[in-house]
Amino acid sequence: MRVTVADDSALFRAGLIRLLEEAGITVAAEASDGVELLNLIAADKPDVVIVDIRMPPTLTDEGLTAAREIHRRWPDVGVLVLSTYVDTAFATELITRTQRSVGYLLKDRVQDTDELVDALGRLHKGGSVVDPEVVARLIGRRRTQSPIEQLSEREREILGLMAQGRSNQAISARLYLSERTVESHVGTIFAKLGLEPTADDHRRVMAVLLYLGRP
Amino acid sequence: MKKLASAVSRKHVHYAVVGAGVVAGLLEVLGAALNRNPDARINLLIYTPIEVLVGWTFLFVGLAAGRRRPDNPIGLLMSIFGLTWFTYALQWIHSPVPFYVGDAFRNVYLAVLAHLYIVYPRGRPAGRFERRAVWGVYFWFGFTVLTQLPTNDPVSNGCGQCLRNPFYIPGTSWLNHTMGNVGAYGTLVVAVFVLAVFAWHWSRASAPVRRAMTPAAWAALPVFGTLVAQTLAGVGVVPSQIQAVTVPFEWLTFAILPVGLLIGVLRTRLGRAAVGDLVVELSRLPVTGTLRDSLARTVGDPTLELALALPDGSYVDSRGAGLSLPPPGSGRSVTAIEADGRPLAALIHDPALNEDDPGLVAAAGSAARLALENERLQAEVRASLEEVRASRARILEAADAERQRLERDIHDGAQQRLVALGVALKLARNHAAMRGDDGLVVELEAAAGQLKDALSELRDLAQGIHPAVLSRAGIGPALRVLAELSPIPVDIKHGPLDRYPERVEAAVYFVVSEALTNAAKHSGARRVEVSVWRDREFLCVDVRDDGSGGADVNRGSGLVGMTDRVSVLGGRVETSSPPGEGTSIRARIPCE
Repeated sequence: MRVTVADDSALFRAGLIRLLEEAGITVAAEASDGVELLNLIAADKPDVVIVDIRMPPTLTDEGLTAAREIHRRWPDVGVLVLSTYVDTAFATELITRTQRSVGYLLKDRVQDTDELVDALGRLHKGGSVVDPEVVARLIGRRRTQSPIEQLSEREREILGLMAQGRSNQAISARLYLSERTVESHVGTIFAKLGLEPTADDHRRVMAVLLYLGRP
Repeated sequence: MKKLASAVSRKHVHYAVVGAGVVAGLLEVLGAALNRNPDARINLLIYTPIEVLVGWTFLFVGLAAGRRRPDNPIGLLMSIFGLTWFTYALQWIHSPVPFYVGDAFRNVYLAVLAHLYIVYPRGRPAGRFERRAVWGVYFWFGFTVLTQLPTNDPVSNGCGQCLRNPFYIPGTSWLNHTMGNVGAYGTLVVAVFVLAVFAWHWSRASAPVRRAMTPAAWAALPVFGTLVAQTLAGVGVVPSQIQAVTVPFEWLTFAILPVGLLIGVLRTRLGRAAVGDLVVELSRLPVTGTLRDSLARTVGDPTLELALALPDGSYVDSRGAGLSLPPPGSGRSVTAIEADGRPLAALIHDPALNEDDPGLVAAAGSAARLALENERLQAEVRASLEEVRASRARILEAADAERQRLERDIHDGAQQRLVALGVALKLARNHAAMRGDDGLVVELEAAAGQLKDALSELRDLAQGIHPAVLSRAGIGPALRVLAELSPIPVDIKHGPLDRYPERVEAAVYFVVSEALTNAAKHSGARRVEVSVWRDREFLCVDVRDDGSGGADVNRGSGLVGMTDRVSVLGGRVETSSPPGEGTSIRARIPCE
């Protein structure tokens, strides 16, 4: 798998590249801002791009702009946006406005190399990735008269893993449950929340995040 | 001095004109009384008194106007009108020369009337066009006289008893009728022209000038109507019965005329009476803000502006906002009002007020001196308050900018370095694991764990200093973040929200943040409802919980800070927290 990295901190870039290379991932190129990133992709297309959400010149949401542009021009390139903060609104917006292969992780998550490699792999295959912290915030938000309050502990756990972008298979492996049991839980959750069931993983993440991100 | 001299000599001319007019009127009465013609009886009984009264009214109204405003020739013009009014009466003298002169000049009063209306109410033609118009009118009447006088020969037209015209040039009588018709049409054209000039003046006049022009305009309309009807009947365009019907009214219409002109002239006089009313009005008006309206009404100028003098020599309006006086020649006049030799206020008004009634504005200003002093003090306080508010806003803005800068520094500096350090620790751990140094692996993992905690704390700190989501995505997403972090369930209700100025968004954010913190700490509430909506130029936010109530807004420094933040923006915070009924905090913030 070939990855291109964009971050305005050279120190972070250097460390990340070494981590990736030690994990057996080829780093195609590195950029320090959005414009440079797009030029690099045009010159040598990678499988996945890792991009910081805040980059020069405005230091607000260049990552989002870049992700949209990359998806428009190279639909088969996965984009992983890294953020210093847990910005649930941004994550929801990013995932629900993009059709596929997009992820949002907290920056310090890269220390968990396995998690990072797993996320890159899922993005490469067209799936989506949402940081567990974001999902925890969304699900953990206290509400009144919300069907989420009626979910069982286990159902909430499964809803969280779904929101992170994991497949039924991955969920069953993680929770030591049979895939069948997971499927049946997913059916119950969708029925309780009043959501349309969908087989497509990304569509499922979109539906769940839209539901959770409501005011 | 020259002006004074001309005013004095004009005064003497004026007296002479009035004297001549009085004599002419007496002569007319005498002439009518001595006339043995049976038609003259009815003249003596009805028309002559009206006619004489009309003429004399003009004489004396003109005199009164002249005395009141010696520099304005309008009064003299009115008196001259009164004198020329009697030209017709020369015909009562049964002698050829005065008879035919009187006959030829019988309409010259119309020329004076045209002159009067062209220059009303200033008394002098403004500009070359009007000067030429006045001369044109007199030339036209001169022309009709010159074509009438030598061609009029009633004797050759078969009137045996008539007097012989001593000015008659033999063989020209055929011209008389034609020139009569031409003269009639000409009069009509002149009348329409004068009306147009008057209307044009009126449309461009300022309010005080209009006040003088309006009664003159109404009074002229009947004269104009009968004049048109009679002229048209005279040349046979409309049935001649019209002429018979309108003749009796003609005198009446002219009787109305001086009344209209007099009211117009007196209207500025009424201004002085209005100063008296102003004094009474102000004595029962403790309310400010209406002082300008009262002054504007008194001097009759709705465009009047009130500038209040501050001790530093600058001027402000009643709300305390800065104001600069118009320079000379800007089309506005400034009348300064002083108290104890210091400037108190300045009235900015239409220059016509000075021409119209010099001293009226100053009189009104002086009458209102006490109220002005009061208003000035209030404006001074408001100006200082405005300054304080502006400086508070600047301080807040600077503090916000500083917070944003601080957050950015933390993000781009410390956070980035710590994240990079985490990656470095991870790399070191991997190498230690490769070399089989398990002890080092454990230590490095522990260090990485501590680093993660430190990063998490730093993240919360930076977010608390300035919520990045607020500047990035606006109020809606920022409120959702607050709701996510709240230990009490929060329901947020809002329609589509635009982006607002940063300080407005920050104010809403901090109000909600503070209110949620308070609810979580003290109230024991089970749920909180947050609503945000737009009400005209205000952005409103309402946070209410179902807790125990009884919160003291003045105690918590957070709530005080929040109230300060909103009031700096010119907004208001209302808190209601009756014991046992929950707490409601509502803020209205101007957002335009």
